[in-house]
Amino acid sequence: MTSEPKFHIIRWVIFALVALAIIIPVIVSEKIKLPDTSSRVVKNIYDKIESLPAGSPIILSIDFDPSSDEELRPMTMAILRHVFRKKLRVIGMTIWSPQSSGLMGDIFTTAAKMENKQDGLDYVIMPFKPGGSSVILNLSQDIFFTYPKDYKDKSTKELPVLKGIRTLKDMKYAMCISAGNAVDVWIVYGKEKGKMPLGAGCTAVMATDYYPYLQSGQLVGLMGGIGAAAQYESLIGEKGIATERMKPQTVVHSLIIILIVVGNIVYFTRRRKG
Amino acid sequence: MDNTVLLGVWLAVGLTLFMYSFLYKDNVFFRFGEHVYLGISIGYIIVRVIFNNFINDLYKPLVEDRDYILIIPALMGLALYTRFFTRIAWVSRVIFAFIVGFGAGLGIPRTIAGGIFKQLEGVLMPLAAIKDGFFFNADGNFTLVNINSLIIIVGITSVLVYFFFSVEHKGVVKSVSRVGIYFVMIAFGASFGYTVMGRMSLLIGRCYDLIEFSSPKYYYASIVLLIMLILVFIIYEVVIKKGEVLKTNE
Repeated sequence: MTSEPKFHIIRWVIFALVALAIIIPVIVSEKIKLPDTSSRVVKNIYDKIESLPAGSPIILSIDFDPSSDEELRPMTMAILRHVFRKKLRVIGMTIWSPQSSGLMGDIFTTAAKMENKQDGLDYVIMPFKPGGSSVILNLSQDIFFTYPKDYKDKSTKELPVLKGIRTLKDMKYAMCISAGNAVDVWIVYGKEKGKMPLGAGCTAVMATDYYPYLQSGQLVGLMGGIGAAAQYESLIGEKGIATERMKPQTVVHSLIIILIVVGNIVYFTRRRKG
Repeated sequence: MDNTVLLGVWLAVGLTLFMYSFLYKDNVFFRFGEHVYLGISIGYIIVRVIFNNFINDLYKPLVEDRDYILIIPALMGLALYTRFFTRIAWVSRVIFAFIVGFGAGLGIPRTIAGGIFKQLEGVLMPLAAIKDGFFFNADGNFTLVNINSLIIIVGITSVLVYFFFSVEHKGVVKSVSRVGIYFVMIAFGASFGYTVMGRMSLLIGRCYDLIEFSSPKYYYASIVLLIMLILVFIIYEVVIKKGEVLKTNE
């Protein structure tokens, strides 16, 4: 009972330390320099996109909603800017939630403005269709049957961006950026049916779940959380929000490591004392 | 600046602060923010489903294109609601049986092929391909792929042994399951590290917005609303709660 107020104070001290560890690096952001590094799994995605010839059609499945926007938007923006620069034709779709299509519209429009790309000509956004795996299986039979109209209610058959494309097998690459199990669905149904190379981006919490798919070759690369997004920004030479956010992230991670060590020392000291 | 943008900023800041007020304790502002978030999400989803799916995928093709085959899935969908009427509730069970059967037929073969066989292949193939030595590939270059596969095989086996409770854990089984615990701990550690990164990313994202919105451009939205929120808590704790205590004592 006597230790309860002490713990209450410690809790507030930790909150304050975490807040300071975020706020101070944000304020002195320009003075913090982080090394440019990229892991093999992130670079594999970059190399795959780099290897595609201009005009190659690719699918970008945006399977997250506003609750994961902070974490997944930076990597989506970095990937989109890269594929736009490579002049690839992008089909944006979602199997996750009706909320994702609105979010996707915003992200695509922002990236397209930055890279001077046109809706319908360089990219297309498909509306949300319920069904998940069934949608992917339908795509493997006929894209125009699955999506007769795009997000803006235009007939997909008339869009120049979809010229010469019929099924998933015509895709040269697919990437699923997900906050849920959409990557699993794409691996099991999309990859198996379409046979195209598949990359994945996911929230950091889920990243460890997908490493086995790299070993088996079912994924060409994997991007987990904001760290991977910062690495990708570094690869495309366009340091953006992910790189900025890695600065407080690094400081707060160091703080958490220190707190874990201190917590363990306190725990073992108390245990020894009995 | 556009007034709607300004209104959006103040709302975003207010709701963010309402949610973080839970750090202090469960309170009416937190609950308000929580309910608003849920309400808006559900409302948005319903509207999108009505316009994107119900109207575009069912109503228009049925009425404008006379695609009458769509009546069958539409009726099947409606039949799910028969579970609310006791007498004809059995109809919904037929449809559920169809959904489960369809899902299982679609999912099981693909999941076994993509989730199990491919994984086994990924682990075993590098070992099966060893020809010129464990540490060297076919070109004679040093490789660590085989070590990876070996670690994965040891990890899978030992973790499975750890979770195999039909045999008493002693002797060799105990030693192997002990190795399994270390593998599980390493996996949990990696997951925890990534989880911290994910959660902190969300916090940092909101902090960036709060700091940006505390500028004069947004009329110090973050600072003003934070002070107002703190004042409300102080007034509640000091004045109202004290008053309640005094009343009870009287």
